[in-house]
Amino acid sequence: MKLRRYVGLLPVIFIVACATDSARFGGNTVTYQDPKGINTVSNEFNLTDMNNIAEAMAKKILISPALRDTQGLVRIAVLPFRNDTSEYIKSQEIYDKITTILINSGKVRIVNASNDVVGALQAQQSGLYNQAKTAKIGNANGAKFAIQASLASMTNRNSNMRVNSYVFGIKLTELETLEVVWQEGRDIVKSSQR
Amino acid sequence: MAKYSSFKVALMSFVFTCVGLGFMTAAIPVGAQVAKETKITRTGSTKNLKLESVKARKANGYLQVQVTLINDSSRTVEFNYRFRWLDEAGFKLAEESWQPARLFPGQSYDFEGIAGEASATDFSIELNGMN
Repeated sequence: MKLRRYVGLLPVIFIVACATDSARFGGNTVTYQDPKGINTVSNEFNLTDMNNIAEAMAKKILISPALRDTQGLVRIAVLPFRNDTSEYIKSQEIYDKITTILINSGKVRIVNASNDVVGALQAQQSGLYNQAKTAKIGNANGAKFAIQASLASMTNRNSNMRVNSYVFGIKLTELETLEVVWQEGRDIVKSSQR
Repeated sequence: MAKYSSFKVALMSFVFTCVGLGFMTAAIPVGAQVAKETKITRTGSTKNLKLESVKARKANGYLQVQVTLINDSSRTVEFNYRFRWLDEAGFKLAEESWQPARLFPGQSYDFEGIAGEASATDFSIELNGMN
């Protein structure tokens, strides 16, 4: 008798379950986008800007007079990124995209002297490791050049429009002479109606 | 008669040299304007974008291409473009991200692409009209 009462509730339970599933899986339509496509959802700095800047800058480095005049492999160190915007910019991703193109060109090697890497090398000098199988200190290849990039932003707005301007700059410094031997920039301006 | 034969030999040599050079440079469109529209794939409405020139050269061992377009209409045209880099066998080495551009009526626009790999010997350009 008790069971029969619950059987009557079954259609209600079924409808509630379907509605819940619909909210979780079917309520919003998910569409994959081309990661190399143009994202105009908002006028903040996005993947489109990052890809376009990284591709253009890395390739400009490859044909720069500084690399043209250097025989053989060119070793480059990467200095910290300066973010002068009010946004959280994934600066490491910009550098990774630039260095991917540089390394894959076959002309450039990136010297990674980050604290993590140097720390891992120093750790191998401790008594923890078999000394016959450790990387030795003193064999690192010094970089000939260092790249350093920066991104600044400005915002202008009025009652019906907002304009975000981004100024990206990158310079290549010869470490021995401390001379900036190449410098390039790119401006991005994006507007949206309010 | 001998004069005629030597002329024939010279003519044949000239023809073979031209054909040979043409064959050698067909895959590497470097140093001069290349056949324009053959390098372009158009999608969307791009009929108002007149292709003025496509130039290619090697810069530090990398293929560099410069394209000039003109908005041949009386309204602003928005479009996207990107380069594809191909190797000697026509295989795709890399496909760049789409770049947005906006041209006022009558405006001329230069854009360039640089192949990030020295093995790129050919290219194609995609134009996608937005309006």
